[in-house]
Amino acid sequence: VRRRVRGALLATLAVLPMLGPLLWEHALPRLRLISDAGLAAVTPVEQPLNVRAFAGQWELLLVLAWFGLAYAQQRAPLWELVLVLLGASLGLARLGNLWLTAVLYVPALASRLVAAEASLQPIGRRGLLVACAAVGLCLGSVASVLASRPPGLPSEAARVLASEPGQATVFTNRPWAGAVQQAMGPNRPVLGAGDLSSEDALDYLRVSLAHANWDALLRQHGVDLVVLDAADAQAAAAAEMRASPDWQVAFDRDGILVAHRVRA
Amino acid sequence: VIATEQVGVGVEPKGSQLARWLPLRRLWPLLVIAGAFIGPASNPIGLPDIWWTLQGGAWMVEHGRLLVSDPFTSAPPTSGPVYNVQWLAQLIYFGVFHLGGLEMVLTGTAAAIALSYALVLGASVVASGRLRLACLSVAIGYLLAFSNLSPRPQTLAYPIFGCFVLAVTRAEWRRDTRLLWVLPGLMVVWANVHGSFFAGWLVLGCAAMGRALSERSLRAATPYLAALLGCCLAALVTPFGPGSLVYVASMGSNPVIRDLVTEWAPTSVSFREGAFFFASVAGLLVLMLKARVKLSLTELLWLAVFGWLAISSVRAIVWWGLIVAPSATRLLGSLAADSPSTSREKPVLNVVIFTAILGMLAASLPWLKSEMPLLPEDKRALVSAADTPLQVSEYLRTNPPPPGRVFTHLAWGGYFDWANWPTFQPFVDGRIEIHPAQVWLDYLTITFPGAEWRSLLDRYAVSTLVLDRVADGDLANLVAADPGWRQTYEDDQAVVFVRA
Repeated sequence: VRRRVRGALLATLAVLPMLGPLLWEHALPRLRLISDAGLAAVTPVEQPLNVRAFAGQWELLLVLAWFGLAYAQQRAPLWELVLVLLGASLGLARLGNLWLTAVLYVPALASRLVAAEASLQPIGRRGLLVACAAVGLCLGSVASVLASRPPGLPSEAARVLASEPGQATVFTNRPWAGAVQQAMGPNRPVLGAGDLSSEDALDYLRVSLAHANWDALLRQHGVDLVVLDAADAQAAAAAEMRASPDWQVAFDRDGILVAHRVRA
Repeated sequence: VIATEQVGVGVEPKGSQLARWLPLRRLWPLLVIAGAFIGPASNPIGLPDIWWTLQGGAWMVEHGRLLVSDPFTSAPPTSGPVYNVQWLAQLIYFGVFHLGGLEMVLTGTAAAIALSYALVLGASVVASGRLRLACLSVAIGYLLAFSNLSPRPQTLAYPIFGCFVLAVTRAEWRRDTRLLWVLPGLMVVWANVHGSFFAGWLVLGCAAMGRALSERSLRAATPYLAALLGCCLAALVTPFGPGSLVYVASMGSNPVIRDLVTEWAPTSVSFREGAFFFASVAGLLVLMLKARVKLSLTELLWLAVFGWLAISSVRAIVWWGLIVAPSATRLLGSLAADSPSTSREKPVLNVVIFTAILGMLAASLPWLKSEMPLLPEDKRALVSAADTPLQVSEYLRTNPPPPGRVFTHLAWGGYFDWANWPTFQPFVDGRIEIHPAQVWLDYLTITFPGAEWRSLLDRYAVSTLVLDRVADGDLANLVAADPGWRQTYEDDQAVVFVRA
């Protein structure tokens, strides 16, 4: 029983690092079998999984770990095979499905780890190996969560936002959407906070990349206040805002630009 | 190879002389190899790479020297030397074109592909001794690569890769190392045909490592190491010497290619070939778990290395499809019963199948397929009208654009290289590495279109826009509404604007 508990614990720790990016989504985990191209353009969790993303590399590693153990032990029960293949398919279809992938991997991986631990000799070394693996995986999970943490909104920018009057929609850099919503209060709609439709996601991308019709698109969404990542993802849009006579910059520091519409 | 003593052991055709001449075991490989030929032979040219390849060859023949610059496009070139490592492929393709036009180009490409899969089929039979299962594995490998079998320099590298796989397989399973000594010579050709020659090093490197580790002796790997050393030196036998290695390294690390070119994107299920690739990996892993044989260390290293390449980039799936067949055949062979000795020959049916294969081969030939009423209209053409700007190219031939740069849709640049150069130079043509990253970012900003599109067109002194009505639709709408531009041409596919 102890061995099984240790196996389950280790398997649970092993799947945690790939869940880092999902933790910051501020949304309930959901299952979609097909990735949406529009949403995939603005948020990594909607993309199909690939090995350039850390989560993709980790999932590949987990599948190979399970396979390596099963191959070496010459034992691959059908239920494990089904769980691993199903979990891998769901993860490949959409990174946001990885929570379910993790749930499916844990029993299969635990089963192989239990068998692997039983074959380890002498007994004294088992505990040490399991402890080392557990500590390593814990550190990996923490590192993954921290590495995928979106940049926060500086308090000065939040203060400027709180003093902005009006009830119209706010356009913001998506990773800051939660913080902006908090600063503006629940009654002010924030484009990018919560769920986006596929078409809204494409408009979000067009504005962020300074599409020729960016101002018309903002009007279409009823936006009169923007909070942009002027240093990186929305640098082109920030440059347009600064040059536009229709917009007044209220805050422009540390890579953050806050501007409001001055001409209807 | 197909007629090895292991294949069809004990099969003694009974009955007519016809049955002896045309046993079933000859039809299986014929079917697979013919299938590998029919696909690329009957597909119209859609990918633009062949056009600048042909034009490069034509340029070298006309000028009598190596092409080491870019005379074809007008966008600013990258600084530093141009390593045209595909120069031999350009000459070969142009030579083939000179012999028989585009029909011959398609037929030659299809023949190279059929040869590649014939070699891999041979390797699979050598590794497993199971002909029909080898045919099945090779057919699956072919389907994995189907979208990457167009006429272009890389395709000429496939048969050479097939030779590498066959040579190592023979050395592994027959202890016959003679073919290994041919590989350095083939590497000289490969290094001058396409930058994928490093795949040959990987094949030999894995074999050397696999043999050395499994036998726990470096000496056991001597034939592979010698061939690898020969191939490393042979890859330097190019007009650019070590420059070809610089080219390969720069292609792999080019951020524009890595991040913006679909073909180089990491494999995911959003690509059809990606979904098929992952299914093949899953199938292979299940086979490995259930089979009664263990793969050799060399095979495991091959699968790991080429699997990683394929998962890292969509365009590398083709190598995976070629190298996985021998191992898959061995695994399948351990699960499926060996039954050819009991199968009864049906001579008449064999003749019917043989005739049908020949008929399909003939019907797929580019010279004949235009007369085939059963083929859909778009498949009867030599060139895909959906992917190639045939009409607007003809218009621009008779109505040359005014002086200044001609900004062209990226995917059409190759065809304009071939059909319209030197009347005008397209802005870019899909050879990503010959222009600096800023050119590509500007190209994307213009076509997006970003707020800066006007100033960028001014900065590049663009006088004419040749746009795709669908892909560049947003830009076309903005230009149409701009008094600074005047529309001079439009068809279902393209629209042309000049400065007003």
